[in-house]
Amino acid sequence: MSWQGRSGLALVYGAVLLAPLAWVLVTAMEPGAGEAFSRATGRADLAGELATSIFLALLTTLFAVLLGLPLALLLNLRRFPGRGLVRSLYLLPLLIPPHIHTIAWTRVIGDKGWLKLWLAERFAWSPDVRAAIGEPGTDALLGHLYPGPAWIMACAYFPLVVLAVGAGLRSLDSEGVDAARLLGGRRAALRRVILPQVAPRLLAGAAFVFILSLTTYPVVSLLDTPTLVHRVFSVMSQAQGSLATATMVGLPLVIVAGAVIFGLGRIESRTGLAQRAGVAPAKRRAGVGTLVAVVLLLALSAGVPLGSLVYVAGPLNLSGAGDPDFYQQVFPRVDEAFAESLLITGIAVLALLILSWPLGRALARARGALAESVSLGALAFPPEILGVALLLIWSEAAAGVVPVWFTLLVALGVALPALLRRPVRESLIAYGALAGSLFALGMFVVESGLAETVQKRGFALIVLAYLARFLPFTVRMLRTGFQALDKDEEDAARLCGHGAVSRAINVVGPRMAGAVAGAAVMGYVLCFTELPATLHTIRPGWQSIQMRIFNMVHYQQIEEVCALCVMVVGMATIPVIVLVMLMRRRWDIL
Amino acid sequence: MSERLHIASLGVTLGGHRVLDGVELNLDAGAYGVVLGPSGAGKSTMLRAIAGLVDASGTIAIGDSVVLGPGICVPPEARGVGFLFQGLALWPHMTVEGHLRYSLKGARVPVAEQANRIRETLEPLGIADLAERRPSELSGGERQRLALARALVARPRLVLLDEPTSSVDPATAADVQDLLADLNRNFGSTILHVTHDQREALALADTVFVMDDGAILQAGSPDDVYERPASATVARFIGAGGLLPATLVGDGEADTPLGHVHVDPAGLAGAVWLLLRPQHLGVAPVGEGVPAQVSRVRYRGGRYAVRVTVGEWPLELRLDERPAMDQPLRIRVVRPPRAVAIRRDS
Repeated sequence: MSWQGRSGLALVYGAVLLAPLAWVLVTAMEPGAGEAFSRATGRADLAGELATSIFLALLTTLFAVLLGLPLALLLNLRRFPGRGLVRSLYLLPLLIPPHIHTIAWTRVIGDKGWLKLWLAERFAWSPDVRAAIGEPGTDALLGHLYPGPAWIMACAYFPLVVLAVGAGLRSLDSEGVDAARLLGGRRAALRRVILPQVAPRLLAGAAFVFILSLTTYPVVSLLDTPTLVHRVFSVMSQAQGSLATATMVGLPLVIVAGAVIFGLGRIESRTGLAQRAGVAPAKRRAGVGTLVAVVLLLALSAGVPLGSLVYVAGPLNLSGAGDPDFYQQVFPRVDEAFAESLLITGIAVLALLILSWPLGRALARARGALAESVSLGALAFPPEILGVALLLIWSEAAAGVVPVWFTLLVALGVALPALLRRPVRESLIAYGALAGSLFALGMFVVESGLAETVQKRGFALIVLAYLARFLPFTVRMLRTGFQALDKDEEDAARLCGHGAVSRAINVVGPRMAGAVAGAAVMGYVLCFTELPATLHTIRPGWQSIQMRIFNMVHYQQIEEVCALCVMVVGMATIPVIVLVMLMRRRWDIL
Repeated sequence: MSERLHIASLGVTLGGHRVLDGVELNLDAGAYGVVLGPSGAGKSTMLRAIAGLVDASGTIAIGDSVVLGPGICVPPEARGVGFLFQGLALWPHMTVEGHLRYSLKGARVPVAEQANRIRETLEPLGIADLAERRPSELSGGERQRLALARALVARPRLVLLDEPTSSVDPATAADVQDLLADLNRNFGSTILHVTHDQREALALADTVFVMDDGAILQAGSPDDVYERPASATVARFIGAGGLLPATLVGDGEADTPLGHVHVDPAGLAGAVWLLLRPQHLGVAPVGEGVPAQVSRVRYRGGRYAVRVTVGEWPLELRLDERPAMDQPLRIRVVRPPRAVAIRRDS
């Protein structure tokens, strides 16, 4: 990567990610911070909670691999009727926010779940499932293994393993696999050739699951699992707790996740993931066993949570939440939250795409573990810590200075690589056009009254939180798109005499359309379903739709919750279905 | 419009490795130059440096305009070069006509003139009736022609061809070679073509540049380079044959493992290498020549290419009949005047 590219990358990440962290560290080291830390944490067993967090994340990763690896192998090495549909369906769990997964699963296997009720009714057997699901109220051995929260998080995140392994399988050299099959048979080819080659991808997917489950708050909150993330939140909720103290409590998680990310970066740079282009091995016709396995995996991961939501809020329950009148009563109470959640999601997606384009491009041309690790850096932050850090940096005292400073840094970071590149005239035209478009968009926002809403609700901070949290995902999707684009194609356009704008419109843009659409949908789904960072960055008096759902759970408004969950899942799913139908592209994002 | 190409002290460093070091090259306007060298010699990097696609030092001038020099670095889009990429780098979303139109638009050719230009370029290449197709709907040879058409349509000052026949079958490669020769004649473009195929180089070039290890080892006409290689490296790379150690003992006489041989001393004296092409050697009559051991026999359409060793020195000759692998042969120099002396310091 050129030094211009490196400096641009550093500036953007510095502004979005490192500056909040530095701000937190500086604040945490202020006089009296140690005392405040002792006061806030009291007799809490922080080491034990860290161990629980790590154990839970490892167990989640194990479950996710057990679910994801077979499904990836079946989807990519076998052909069966409805394979295309399954390829879209397996993404569903990723579109359901973790708190909705938790709500749905506790409706099925929780202490008051249908399974227990059915067992009691049918067999007069009422097992204590609190330990298994991780609900509080038991100290049985199973309660310390937390299989329930781990399973729920695994169901939410296992599609990441399928995506990563699937991309690895598609990049295999089919002739190499055929050679292995000829020499050693099908099983030996899988064991000795296919699995070793996709192992780095599997590790990458597993690392993503580990990091996300290490830092996910809603599941452990709803199930009251004593993890460090939970502690961070409770410290913030205490009267004597402070934002800086909460951040200090969560720093070990940042360190653990950071170490995993650095390891992942090294693996990716060494193995050159995503830079290979292969021809996927030929798929064998699947037998009945394969079909049963696929259906079981999908039913377990996506069917149960969706089924339980639809059971409560769908047409089967017409006397309750399934009644269309019920929706007509619920929706007016949340329509404003819905609309504003969509607005903020739209702004965040636009910002994600604008920032991800140059970063993805720079990363596609870069090599080295550091660049890979930095690109993933934001994932190391638990969303709560991120929210806290952004609150700190955006505090009232700094409000007048920080937005300007931040905007300048980001603008400079994005513009610098192009501005320093020759010819300057082309770059100026490109950035002039960009600035003009942004100005026109800004005028529209101001004139339409959106600006006032954005200002009143403090949306800027939430957008920033979404940027910091989800930039790694969209950057990686665009990076993959840029890697798939042969650099010679762009050079050929350049040698034809075309400048940056013409190349972007005529050559790079059409070739990147799939990646951009994929990144936009991914950004939309992630932002629309985000909860923990929103919880900490939102201004009092406003709630996103996810927050409304989360709060309703605490008020036991289960039918309303399920109805809203169905609507949220539907809204998250529609663009994905449209994208899959329109593009029919592979989601090689990891 | 064709221009002269002048390169002096061209250097490129990639990833800390000096890929090109002090390259000197001159190609006349309208001439067809071929850079010949083994894989990894730096040929493609040199083309990219000329096009401005990699950072380079030194001087590059196309015609009267310096595109690289002290304080000067003209961006690729302003250098006015056509480039045929080894991987073709076609745009999958554009039709054949779309490729050419986009190229003409970049060169600011008036719209009214574009249709004519496209027809004039596609017709000699034989793909005029494929104008509405996309690259995925073309055969390998047709894609190659499309890439060539894109490089030529804007009438660039200089055309750079990176291994233009490496990705097609031998029959198509021969067609493409004919096409390149015709294009050079018809369009009069200055062409610099890189390849590792010596037959292609010798067949097409006005000037051959032999390159290895990031430097030009020799430049000259195909005859010159073949008949009078400037070093043992060039001699080993160009054409078949072998090198024998020899000592020049008098005017046009050398002592060699094959005995006394008449040579062209090329102004040298003392210990030299003697280059013997297959046509210089033949089977000796009984009682003459020196013993040689057959180590390899290859059929070459009517004749056999026979690799033999004389002592420790490998040589090659052509025979009408296949010799047995373990058959002892006696060979001799049959056309001594064509042997060339090369300095023994390499």
